[in-house]
Amino acid sequence: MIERIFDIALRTMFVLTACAGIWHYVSFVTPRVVDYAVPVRDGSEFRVIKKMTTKIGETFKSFSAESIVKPFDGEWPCFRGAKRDNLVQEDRPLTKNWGAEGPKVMWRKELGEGYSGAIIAQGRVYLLDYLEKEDSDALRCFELLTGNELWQRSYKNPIRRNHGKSRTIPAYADNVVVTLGPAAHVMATDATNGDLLWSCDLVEQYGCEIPQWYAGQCPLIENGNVILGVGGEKVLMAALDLKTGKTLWETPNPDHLKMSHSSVVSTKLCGVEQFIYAGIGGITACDHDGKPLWTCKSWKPAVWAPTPLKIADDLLFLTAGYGAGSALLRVHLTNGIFEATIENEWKPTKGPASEQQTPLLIGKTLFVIQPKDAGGLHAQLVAADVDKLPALRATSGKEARFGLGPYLYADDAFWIMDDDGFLHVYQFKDDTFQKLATHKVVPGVDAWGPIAYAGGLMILRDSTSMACLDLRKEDAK
Amino acid sequence: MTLRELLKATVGALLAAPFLQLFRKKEETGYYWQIDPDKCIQCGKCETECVLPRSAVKCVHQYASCGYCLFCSGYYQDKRVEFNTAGENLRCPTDAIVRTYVEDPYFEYKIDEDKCIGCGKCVKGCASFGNGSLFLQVRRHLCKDCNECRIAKVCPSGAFTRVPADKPYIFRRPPEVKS
Repeated sequence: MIERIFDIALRTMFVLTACAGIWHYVSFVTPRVVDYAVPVRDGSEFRVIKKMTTKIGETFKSFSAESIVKPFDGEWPCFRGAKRDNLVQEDRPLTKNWGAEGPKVMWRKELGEGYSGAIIAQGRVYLLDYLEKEDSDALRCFELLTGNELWQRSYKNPIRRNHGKSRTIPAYADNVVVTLGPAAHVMATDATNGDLLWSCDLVEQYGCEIPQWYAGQCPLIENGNVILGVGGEKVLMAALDLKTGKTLWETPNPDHLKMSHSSVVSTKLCGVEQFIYAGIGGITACDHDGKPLWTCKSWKPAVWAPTPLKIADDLLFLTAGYGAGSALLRVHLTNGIFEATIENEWKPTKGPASEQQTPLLIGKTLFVIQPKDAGGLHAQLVAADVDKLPALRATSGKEARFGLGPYLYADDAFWIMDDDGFLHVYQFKDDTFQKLATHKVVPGVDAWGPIAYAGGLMILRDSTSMACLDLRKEDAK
Repeated sequence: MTLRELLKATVGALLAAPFLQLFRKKEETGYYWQIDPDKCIQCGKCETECVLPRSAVKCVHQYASCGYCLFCSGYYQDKRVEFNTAGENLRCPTDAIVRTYVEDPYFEYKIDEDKCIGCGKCVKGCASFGNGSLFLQVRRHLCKDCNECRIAKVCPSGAFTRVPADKPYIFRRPPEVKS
C-alpha cells in the first residue's frame, strides 16, 4: 500500500513538475535590458578644468627700434567699427575692377589658428593673436602701411585647440588698447609703446565660466569706461576705468546668466541710454551707472554670438545659431519701469537669422547671411524690411552662397568673406544683389574673423593668416 | 627523421602549397552601392527603404574631422534642456551615439551600430552646425548587395552611387590643420 501511495505521489510530482516546466517555457519572456538615458553617462563627472595662474601681460617684445609710424587718416577702433554698425561712413570710392590678379595685397602675416579680428588706430594694426610655439595670447601691433611688427605684449595661456584658439577683437580709445583673451583675461596696454597698464582675470575675479569654444566677447569702451559682460556668480556686467582698471560699477546677476560670445551693446531704447548684454540664459540691460533696467529670459539660445541689433526706438532684433533662429524683443517703459517681452520669434528657415556674425542695418533694411540650417536659403545674403519681419525682401540666390564669414558695407557695396577666403563684392540695387567682383584674397580656410577697414585699406584673415588689401583708387592715394 | 623522410615531407609540402591559394583572401572586384556624403540630404529613406529589417545604412564617424566639442550638434537636439546625456537632450532616437569625456575640453562620440537605424538625424545636426564628421554609409558587412538597391531607387538626391569594391567607402575631406 505504501509503495502504491509513494508511486502515485512520485508520478503526480513528475506530472506537476512537467506542467510547471511547460508553463514556464511557454510564458517566459526574456527580460528587456533597458539602458536608462540618465544625465551622466559620459564620464563628465570627472571633468577637470585646469586653472592656472596667469601673469597677464608678463612678456613684452619690441621688434622695431624705429618707433616713428607713418600717420594714416582713418580708424577702425573696435568690433564693427567706431559706431559699431559695420557700415563705412566715408565717401571714398574703392576699386572693384581687380582683374585676374585680384585686389592689391599690401602685406600678409602668419597668425596662430583662430578667428580674432584686427582694429586700426594711429596708423597701427592691433590683433590679439595666439602664439602657438609659446602657448601665449599676444597683443600684436603692426604698422598699417608696411605690415612691420612693432611690438607684442603677451602672457602664457596654454589652451588646447578647440576650433582654433583666438576669438576676439580689441578695443581702442584714448591711446589705450583693451583685449579680452580666450580664457577671459582682460589686458589694457598703451597703444603706442605697448606698456602694460592694468589687467584682470574675469574667472578669478568674478567666478565666470568660459563659454564653449572659448570667450568670443569683444570689449566695449564708452566714455572712458570698459564695459564687459561678465556672467559671473554674482556680477553680470561690470565697468572698469579705462586708464586704471578700477571697478566703477557692477550689476548683480540674480538670474545667473552666463558669459556668451556676444558683446555688450551701447544704445538708446525708449529714450534711455543703456548697455545691453545677451548672456546665456537671457538678455539684460543696465543704465550707464550699472543700474539694472530690464531682463528677458523667454528667449535663451544655448550659444549666442551675434550682438543684439536695435531696429526701432523700442525694438531689438535678436539672432543666434544652432537651431535658435531669431526673435524681436520689445522694450516698454511705463512710469519709469522697463519691461521687455519677446514679440515674435522664428526659425532660420522662416526669416533672417545668423549664427556668428551680427547683421547689418542700413536704413530700415536688415541684411544678413543665413546660417547652415536655413534650408534652401542657407549661406545666402538676404534683405528684410524691419517693419515686415520675418518676411524677406530679397535674397542673393542659390548661386551666391557665402558661409560663416564676416561682411561689412562700404562704398555702396557689401564686402563679404566666405569660408574659403574669397572676398566677394555685391551691390544691392532694385531689390537685387548684383556681383561686382570676387577673388581669393587669403590662402586658408575658415575666414571668419571680422573685417577691419580704414581709409581704403581692409584687414582680413583666414584661420592662420592675415592680409591687408589696398582698395584705394590710384588717384585717391 | 631520415634524410629520405625529410625529402618526402619537403616535396609533399611544395606540392600542397598551391592549395593554400584557395584560402588566400581574394582581391575584391566589381562595384558596391555607397552613399556620397556630399550629396546626401538625410531624407530618412535609408532607414525605411532597405530590404533588411534594420537598414544596412549606418551613421559613421570620421574622427579626423570631428571637433570633439562639449556641444555636439549631432548629439544634442535643438531643444535640449541641458548639455548632459539625459535622453530628452539627445537627437538620436535610439541612443546610438555613445559619448565619452576625454579631457578638458574634449568629448569623443562613437556610433553603436547595433542601435543605429540609419535615420540620419544626427548627420543632419552635424552638417547644420558642425564639421560634418558624422555621415551615412552602407556598411559592407551588413549589406545584402541587392543588384537593384531599393534605397538607391528612391534616393531623392542621387546620393547613392557605385564605388569600386576595393574602395567601398566614401570619406569626407578632413579640415585643413596647420602643422
